[in-house]
Amino acid sequence: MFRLHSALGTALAVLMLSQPAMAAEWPTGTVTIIVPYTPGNITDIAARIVAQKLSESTGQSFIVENKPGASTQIGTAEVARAEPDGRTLLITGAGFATNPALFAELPYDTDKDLVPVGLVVSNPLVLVTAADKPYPDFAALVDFAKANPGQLTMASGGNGTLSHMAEALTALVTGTELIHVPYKGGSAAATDTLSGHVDSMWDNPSSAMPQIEAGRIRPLAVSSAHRSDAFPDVPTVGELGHGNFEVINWFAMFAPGETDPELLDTIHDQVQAALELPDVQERFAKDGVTAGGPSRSDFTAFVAAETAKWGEIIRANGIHAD
Amino acid sequence: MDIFANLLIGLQTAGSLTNLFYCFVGVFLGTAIGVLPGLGPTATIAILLPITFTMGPENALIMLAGIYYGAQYGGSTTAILVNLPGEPSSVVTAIDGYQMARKGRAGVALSTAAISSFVAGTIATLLIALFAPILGEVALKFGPAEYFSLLSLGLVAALVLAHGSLLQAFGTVIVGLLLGLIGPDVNSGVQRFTFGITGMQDGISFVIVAMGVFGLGEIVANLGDESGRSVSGTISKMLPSREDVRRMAAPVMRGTALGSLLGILPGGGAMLASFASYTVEKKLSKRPDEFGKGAIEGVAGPEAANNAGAQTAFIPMLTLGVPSNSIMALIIGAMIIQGIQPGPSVMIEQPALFWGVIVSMWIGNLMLLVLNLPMIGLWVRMIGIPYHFLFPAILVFCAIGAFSLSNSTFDVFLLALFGVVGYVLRKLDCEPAPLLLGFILGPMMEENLRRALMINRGDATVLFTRPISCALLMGAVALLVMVLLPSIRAKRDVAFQEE
Repeated sequence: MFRLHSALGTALAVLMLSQPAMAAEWPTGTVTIIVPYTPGNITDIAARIVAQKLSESTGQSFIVENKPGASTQIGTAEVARAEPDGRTLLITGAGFATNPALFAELPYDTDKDLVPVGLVVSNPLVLVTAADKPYPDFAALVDFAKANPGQLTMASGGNGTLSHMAEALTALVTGTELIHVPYKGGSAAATDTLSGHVDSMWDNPSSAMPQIEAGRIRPLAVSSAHRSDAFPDVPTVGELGHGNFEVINWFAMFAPGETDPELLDTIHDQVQAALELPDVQERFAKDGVTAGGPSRSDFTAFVAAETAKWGEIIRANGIHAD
Repeated sequence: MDIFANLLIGLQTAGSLTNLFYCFVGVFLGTAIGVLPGLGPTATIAILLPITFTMGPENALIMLAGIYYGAQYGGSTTAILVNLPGEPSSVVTAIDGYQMARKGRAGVALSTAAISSFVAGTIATLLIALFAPILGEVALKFGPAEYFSLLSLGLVAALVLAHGSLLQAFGTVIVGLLLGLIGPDVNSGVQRFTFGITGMQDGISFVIVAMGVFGLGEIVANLGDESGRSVSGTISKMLPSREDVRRMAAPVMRGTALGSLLGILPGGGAMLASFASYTVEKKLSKRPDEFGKGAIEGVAGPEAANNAGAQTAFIPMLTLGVPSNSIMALIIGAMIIQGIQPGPSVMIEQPALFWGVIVSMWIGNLMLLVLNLPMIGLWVRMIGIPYHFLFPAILVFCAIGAFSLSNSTFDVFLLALFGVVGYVLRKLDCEPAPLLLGFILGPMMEENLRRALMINRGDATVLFTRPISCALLMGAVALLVMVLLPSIRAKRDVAFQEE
């Protein structure tokens, strides 16, 4: 009896002592990172690189689980329902900010059920056209579109994807009428742009770069506010006199809505530390991708701004995905 | 001269002990997953992707490629033995392969499939080595208009696949087309025929329809028909006879040619190849009445075509960085993980990788032949297992396969539903193959037609003004006329209804 008491007492003491520290201790076991995209996708690759680095730095297992389907809704909803203990996390893309406007109903509440942890990777898009198309630069493309309304085709990776958003925004800021040609996935769209079956496309630098280097496609503009290090000679849309044009393809980590803020800060710091490793930075820079991002509060504000901005453009263009 | 130097570089890479090992692991895994219903190469490569992190780029690519073409071999095994096509390309193999198995010629059917695949794989590998850069460019000639026309030709060919009533074949193709429309509309994103069910938001998986309509339907029908279950005694025969070899030689060559050509096209050309081959063999054969009842040409041709197609599907990926199907897209993902961005420069900057993978394909094909021929005896014994053990086992594997697609129980129920559909079709004397082809081709056709019209501002004449597209459509019309011509039809009915 006495021994049991003492054992219990010790256990209690240990528990009480470790209580304050435990709130910010992470990870305490295997962590599952849910990626709502198919494997091999750029998000999946980023998630796997992050998972591998975190496994090395923390000594815990990080598992990447692909839950694709329904425009990321299936995987996102699963994390929204998960225990807020930091052991189930989500890495998803800009679809997080566009889905609330694209769908009348979502299986989760974007504001309440999920909370931003931090930016993982981001890259601008680059507007490309086949090398034999008659538009040497962005201005020439706009001139052509203005002289021939409803003639210029612009491919996208699908209805409601970021490349579609970029197309809608291009038409808006240049005052042109473009034909949006959606594909099932960005790589099919990129293939038809490369072969010239469609006139142009906002593509990811990682897939455009090798074709640009081979001289098969031509970059006309980048979608960021500032020029990209990957394409120092390619102008931004803004500097060409089309005002406030910014489209960023971002992938970020989110946690279940009820997660303790202190725990979120710990996860944020650990993930950023992994992303700042020189080999990770170098690995992504090669594909025109920036690894890591701002503080948690700045990132939270960024997600809110993105959701508002795309919501407005989606509604103004009457785009919907259901 | 150059080609020998290149192949030598390739042989040095692929012939190293480590790469031989990874090649073996790849083809072995591929065969295994090909045999298991429901688990396809896409899922397997996806699962293995993280493991390739720690490998060298050549090791990783050689192994993943092995899984892909290994699965093409394995997929035909279940199609022949238990009428369960695990891959779209083995749907056609199931038609005559399963009939051969029912006549006690399972061993011959399996070895025919293995030998045809090997011959086709060898020729296709040589083609890649010789003409990869030129052939890669051909893929880019195919835009939405050309695809629509190619798929139209394919759909007409689907009618030829069936024996028996043309009206019934037409009906099942239409049902397949309608099933294929379930899911989001590509242009507007509007959900079609999903009835608000989350599990159907992305459409129905091919694997579920194929397992349900073919496998489950067959099992239920078998249970109801005691007489249909007997397997005759010639089962011990494993290798094709001299007569068999004579009959399969020309179909294998034609299949290889068709497969090599169609495999290059992005967007599932390899799959079209196997039934294009079947259609051609049936039309050219002196005994078209044997097709659908266990004609060896109906196994040899399509198997050669799908394996050749699986090899040449690598051409656009390796030479241009353009994926021709979802598996190639995954392999591109694996290359990106390795820090290699697939594109036109890979061939020049990474000759060891490029030629190593190509030579490994031939080595892998040889391994598959050596691996598969001795296994045939084992497989054949499997259909000797009493049905009250075999059928529940197949059901369990199918259910696991369906569940593993997206970890959803809804898919298992859907599988059961398609089992009922398969049984009803059988009772109505409708062939399941045209249904599956309609299911696969319908949505692709719609997507490409609408895209072609969109790009050309609604002008439908583009289908006829583009030469490749026009030629393909003419082919489709010609084939349709042949099928519909009353005299041919009369002959056809007499020939096929005598069962």
